[in-house]
Amino acid sequence: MSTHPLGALCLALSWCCSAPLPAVAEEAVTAFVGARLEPVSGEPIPSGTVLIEGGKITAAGADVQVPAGARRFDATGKVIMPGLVVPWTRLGLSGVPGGKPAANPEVRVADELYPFQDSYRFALQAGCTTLCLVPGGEGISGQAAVCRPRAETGDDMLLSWWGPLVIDFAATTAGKKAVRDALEGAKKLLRDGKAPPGLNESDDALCRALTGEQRTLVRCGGPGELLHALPFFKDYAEMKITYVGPAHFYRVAEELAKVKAAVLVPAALTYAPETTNRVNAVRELQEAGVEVACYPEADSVSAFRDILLQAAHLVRAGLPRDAALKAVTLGAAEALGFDYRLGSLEPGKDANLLVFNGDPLSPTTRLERVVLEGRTVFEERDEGR
Amino acid sequence: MTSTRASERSAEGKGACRFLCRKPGRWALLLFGALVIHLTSGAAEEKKPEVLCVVGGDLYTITDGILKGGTILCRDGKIEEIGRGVTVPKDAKVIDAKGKAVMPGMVAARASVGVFSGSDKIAEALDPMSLGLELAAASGITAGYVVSGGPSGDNPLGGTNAALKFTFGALDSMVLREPASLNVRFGPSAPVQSFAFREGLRQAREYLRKQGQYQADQKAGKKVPAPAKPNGADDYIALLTRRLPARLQPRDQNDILAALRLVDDYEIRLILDGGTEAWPLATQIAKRNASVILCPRDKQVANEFVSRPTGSSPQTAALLARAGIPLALVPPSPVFSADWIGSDLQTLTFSAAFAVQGGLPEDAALEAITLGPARILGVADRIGSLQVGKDADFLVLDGSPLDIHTFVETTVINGKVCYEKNKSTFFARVKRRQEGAKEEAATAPGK
Repeated sequence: MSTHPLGALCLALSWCCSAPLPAVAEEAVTAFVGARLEPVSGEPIPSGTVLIEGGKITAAGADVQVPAGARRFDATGKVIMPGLVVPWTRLGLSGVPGGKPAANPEVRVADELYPFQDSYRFALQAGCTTLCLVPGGEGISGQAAVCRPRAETGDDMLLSWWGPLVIDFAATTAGKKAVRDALEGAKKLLRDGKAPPGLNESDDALCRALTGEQRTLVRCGGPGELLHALPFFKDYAEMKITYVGPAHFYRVAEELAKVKAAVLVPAALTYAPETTNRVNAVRELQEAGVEVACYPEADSVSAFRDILLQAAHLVRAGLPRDAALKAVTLGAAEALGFDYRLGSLEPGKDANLLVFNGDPLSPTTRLERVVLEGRTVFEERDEGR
Repeated sequence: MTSTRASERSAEGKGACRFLCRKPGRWALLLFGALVIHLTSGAAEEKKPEVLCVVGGDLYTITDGILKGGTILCRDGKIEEIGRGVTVPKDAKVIDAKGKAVMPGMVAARASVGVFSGSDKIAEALDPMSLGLELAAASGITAGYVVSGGPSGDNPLGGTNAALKFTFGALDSMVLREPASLNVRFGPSAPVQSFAFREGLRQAREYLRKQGQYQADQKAGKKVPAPAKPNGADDYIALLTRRLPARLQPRDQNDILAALRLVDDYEIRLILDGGTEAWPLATQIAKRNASVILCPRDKQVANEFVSRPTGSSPQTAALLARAGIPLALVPPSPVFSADWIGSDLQTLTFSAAFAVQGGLPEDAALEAITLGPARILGVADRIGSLQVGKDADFLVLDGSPLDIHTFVETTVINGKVCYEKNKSTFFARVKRRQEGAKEEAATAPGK
């Protein structure tokens, strides 16, 4: 194949894993030097350096000294931003269970992970370095799994044993009862002085959600259901809730702002109901004071590849640039309660970096390198051009 | 719409002259016709040709680069003059395009717009009042390749397609060309249809050969019976005589390779509608003068069971264009729909920008959404570039054409303004904000 003029191109596009990774000692310091940095947690830095050690970012900024012996990448003219965090997806999972609303807090997506899937490979190639895989089923669906999309085993995919509790909230008697009964039961346990760990798996998960130790993702089918959910969860004030649902959540933006809720909506423009007039739901929620982040509009590889294009589309429609970048990185990490280790170029955070040959929010720009926890997992070379 | 009617009237007038020269006895009919025109035309000044001038814009001509600060003068729906020193007539309607970009109306090589479904002939099923046509104008798409139906059952041929102009509210000006090609099902994935198609071509070629012999015999004075034309041979004859190209939708490289062999055998013209895996075959496709319609955002997984390079590449458009293949770029979806937001027809320019990401020069990317598809559709004499004599179909943009932040401000079709952003509700709620605009300008790519 190497004699073929395009063979090199084919290789360039192939998965880096198939070729042996460059031998780098785990302890070695890696430095990306001279790139424009989009830290998301702060203002862009026109020319800066990112240091990585042990899979973590140890420094990121303009005045960073590269230690002697560091593996040095000249990133002049490149733009580096944190890896994308996908806060709500069922990519690579099988169908959602149907049936009546039920409370299954013990169900863990972590138990159904299958790491060797093309879709995870493509997600990583698209720059998605973290996926929150969610359980399905009306009522209390179970516990989500916050994952790195590349590992040898399902357990190795997990960033932590515990994942956010997921509630698929149905505005029906049965749907509300299933959730309320479970939460009230756990509330009683807490009142009786019991607390995790050491309870059974269901109660552990519920108690951790009730006390706000673990985030809860509440999915609502639309703004109408959301108006049911907001008063429902007033009774559980300590829960840290992120509401997940369609773009039309913007229609109840003021109510969402009142309860200071975090919200996840699809990364896409929408139409105002019954019209073809464009609405930027993300911008409208953000302007109303809602903490809003985005998930891909579909569980497909193409939707994952389009996340940044859609973010650019949102900027085109008036969303500030910094808000758009945050919505697909740090904002999404916050919505999951994982901002302590994901979503920005800050010391101490996981070294998940994307290296672009220009503005990440332009379709003419190429993603050239994806770094997952300090290791380059995707690289597009220039051969064959 | 007034100008459209005016131009048709003048065409009618020319026809009437010829009609009179041949048969002077038909004066009465003409008088009657003149009376009808007079009665329907209203005020006398409406008969004057309409003049529209777009002044001071950066003209992306496609054929002659970018003309900074130029003026376009349109009369009667056609471009009459282009340049920096164009004199603007007093009675002209003027659009000030200073500091703006002006480009030809975009041509979508896959569009499901402006047609009612379920008709054998697109011209008989046009929907000139459809919302899709309004959205097309708002997106800067002024023409498209519309396919209705396709080969069904074991038939290798079927359905119809047309090059349509997206003139909202004007039925008569919509069809540029129908059919623009023949829809063909062919390739290893369709063996029955492939056999029937080859057989159809073989029989038609045999018929043409006999027909040639017959004509030669007749000239020589021999009395021989005319050969019988096989059933349904007309379509195949159109292909063999290269009057129409065959439009194939290859699923993978095997389909493309089979289609290229077909060109070698029968010398037909070929449009490959779908070329995600075409990049390793660029030189072979170019050798057959086949054209390609491509969505650069489509992804196809490489086939691990073959040793040759397969799968999609971001560089496909660049490699095809470099090989000299006529290219049309399209977005993932051919419709305007909330379900496809971000991938629908409104994202035609995004597809061109994606191709730039893969190494296609910007001017070639622009050509692939204007003149490129116009050529593939066989209507490049009328649309696709800013050139004197072409239809006055163009856009005024508030930024450079491939910048994602750019919106269409004004769309002109046939010299008539048919969309103005500031008078439309489509984007009223997503206006660009001032401070955002500044920041965008500072970080715009390649500036």
